[in-house]
Order: sequence, then C-alpha cells, then structure tokens
Amino acid sequence: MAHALRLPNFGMGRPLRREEEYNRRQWSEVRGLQTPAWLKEVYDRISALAELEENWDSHGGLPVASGAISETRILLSNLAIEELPKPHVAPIPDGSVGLHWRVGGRDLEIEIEASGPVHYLKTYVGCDSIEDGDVHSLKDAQDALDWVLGR
Amino acid sequence: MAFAFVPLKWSVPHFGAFWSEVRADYPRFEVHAPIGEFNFEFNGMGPEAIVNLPVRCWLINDESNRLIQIQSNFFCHNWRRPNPAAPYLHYGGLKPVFEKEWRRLCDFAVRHELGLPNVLSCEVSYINHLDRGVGWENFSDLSTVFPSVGSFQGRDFLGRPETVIINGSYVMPSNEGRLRVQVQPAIRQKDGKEIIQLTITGSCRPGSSDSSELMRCLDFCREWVVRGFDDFTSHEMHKIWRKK
Repeated sequence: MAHALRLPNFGMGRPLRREEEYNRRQWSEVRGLQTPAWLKEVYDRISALAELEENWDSHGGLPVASGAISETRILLSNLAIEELPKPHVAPIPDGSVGLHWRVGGRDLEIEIEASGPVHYLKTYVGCDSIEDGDVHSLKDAQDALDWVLGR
Repeated sequence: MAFAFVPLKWSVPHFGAFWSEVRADYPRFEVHAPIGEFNFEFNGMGPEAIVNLPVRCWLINDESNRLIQIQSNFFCHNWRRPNPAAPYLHYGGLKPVFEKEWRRLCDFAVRHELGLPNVLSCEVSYINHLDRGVGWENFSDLSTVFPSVGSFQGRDFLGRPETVIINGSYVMPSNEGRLRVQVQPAIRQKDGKEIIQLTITGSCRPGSSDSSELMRCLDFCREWVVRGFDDFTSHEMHKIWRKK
C-alpha cells in the first residue's frame, strides 16, 4: 500500500511563511540579518572596531585593520551560526579581530588577521589541553564551530 | 520571471531528460527542496515499490548569471549580475530568453506526454541591494529611502529600531494580481556588507495558457514592478542611483 505524507518542506521544522517561500525563489547570495538574534548587534560591534585608534589599549595596540573587519563579516555571513550563542568580539593588539564562544565547557577563539589568515584555538575550560590550527576554508571554520557545540 | 502551473506528472527521470536537452546552455545543476507543500509518496515494503520524491532542480549557465528552476508545478528563470562591472541585463533582453526556455519546457512536456502546462500564475521579481552608507545608515533612516514608511522610532520609550522588515502587498486592478514589496535587512555574503534587500514582485493570473497571454501578463507584472519601485522609493534615492 502506498502512503502519502504531507511534508511542509524538507529540512524545515515548520511550514514556510509566504515571504520565506518568495525568498527561496530568488537567487541572491544574501543572509538575513535577523537570525540569529544577536547577528546585527555583533555586526555593529565589529563595525565599531574600525573606530579604534592606535594605542587603544594603552600598550601600543594597532588600529583594527579594515581587511580584518571585512573578512570577519564575510566569515560570519557564510557560516551556520544559528544555534550558537552570541560571540564576544574583541580587537587584538596586532590589528586582528577576535571572536570567542564558550559553550558548556568548551572555549573557541577565532582570530582573523588583517592580511587574511584565520586561526583557531580550542580549549576545555579548566583543562590544560589546547588545540590550535589554521582555518583554510569555510569548512574548517564550520568544523571549529561544530566542535564548540559538541558535535 | 516565473510561471506556476497545475502539477505535471513530472518525475525524477524528467529532470535528467530535460537537462540533457539544455545542458549545452546550462552545464551545472543543483538539487534543492521544492517550493510549497508536496506529497511525498513511498511504498518501500511492496513488490512494486513507488517513491515520488518532490525536488526542485537548478540548471545554471557557464557564466553563473542565469538560472532555470524547475519543479513539477513551477518554472522560473533568474538573472543576476555576476559582478558590479558586468552590464545590467534589462527586461527587454531577458524576456526573450525566458520565452525561449519556456517553449523548450512546453515542447519537452508535450513530447514526453505530460501535456502542456496549465499556467495559474505569472510572476516578475526585481531585487535591489541598498548598501548601508549609501542613502541610509540605520533603520530609522528608512523613511529617507521609502517615503511612505516612518522611522519606527518610539514616541518616548523605544529608541531607534535595530532592524525592520516590511512586507506589503498592493492589489492590481485586473487578473487577480498583486504587487508584493519586501524590505529585509541582510548581509551580502560575497563581501560581508550590510544591505537592505528590496524585493518587488508582481504576479497575476493569466486568462489562458496561450503564449501571447502569458507574455502579456509578464509585461503587465513588469510594468507594475517598475512603477511600484518608482513610487515606493524616494526621489533622493533615485538621484543617488542615477549618479551611480
């Protein structure tokens, strides 16, 4: 006997709203700014880093490079971040941008350098074990984010 | 540009057969979830197992600036500018392409005994990216871009809004048509820039599925999109866009 299941849409936990249906017809490489809820706030925080002047930390810290800021924006806009909590955004004295997530006992720091290279640092809270490495692709960055979520 | 139609008995092999006919023009494909609700039919236990898997196929050209989307009840042709330096392709240049590809689909459907599609809706969409810093800085500036919209700033308690989404629809005088206006805060993934994505979609029900009527409906929708865009956006923004 054949069975017929009414499926709203594959991969979705609820029926799509009409505006979402229309979005899916379009061919536009954009990401909505309202999900996750913290995205706009974090974007504004990243933008504000551009205002920092030399010696912003009273220890000779360099201004945050515009390249690091735009690379951070591109990185965030291309990753699956919906389930992550809001990251802590911080300038780094060499002009890079740092993103930090803590989920449960896992800490992840991602550092985006002005010249392009991206690095990660994984640590367990209260443990000495540390893993660091370079991010060569979006998949590497996504793998790091999945790690902090315990996947 | 898109047509929605009464579902054809279109199954998985039809995607491949149709692709083989247009592959020279659209060498890349992607498989996506369908738009709308579908019946997923399966009979994995029986001797004559039947699986009807609803999917939507994307067929993409070499330049990655044109896309055909097909599913059993929907046909769509999208164009996008591959880079800011590339020439803008206007409706007058795109419509003949859409018409040609639609004819290909109809010919294919007839040859494969699926019948001619009975079109329920014609649609024309226009998408515009409004970069932050060009005419607007935050979402309380929306009224400078869209004069019919307020600042969304509260009287006393609320400050300015962090983001705003607008969904509006306007009734067209004939053909059960609607013009939908959508304003969405977004990030362009290519360069990480914050934008407002303005999508204006005109859709209407054709009087028949004759090609001339379908093309007339597209022209009608397009006229509403152009006039709607002009009417919904401010003169100040028009000046900025003309300068660009």
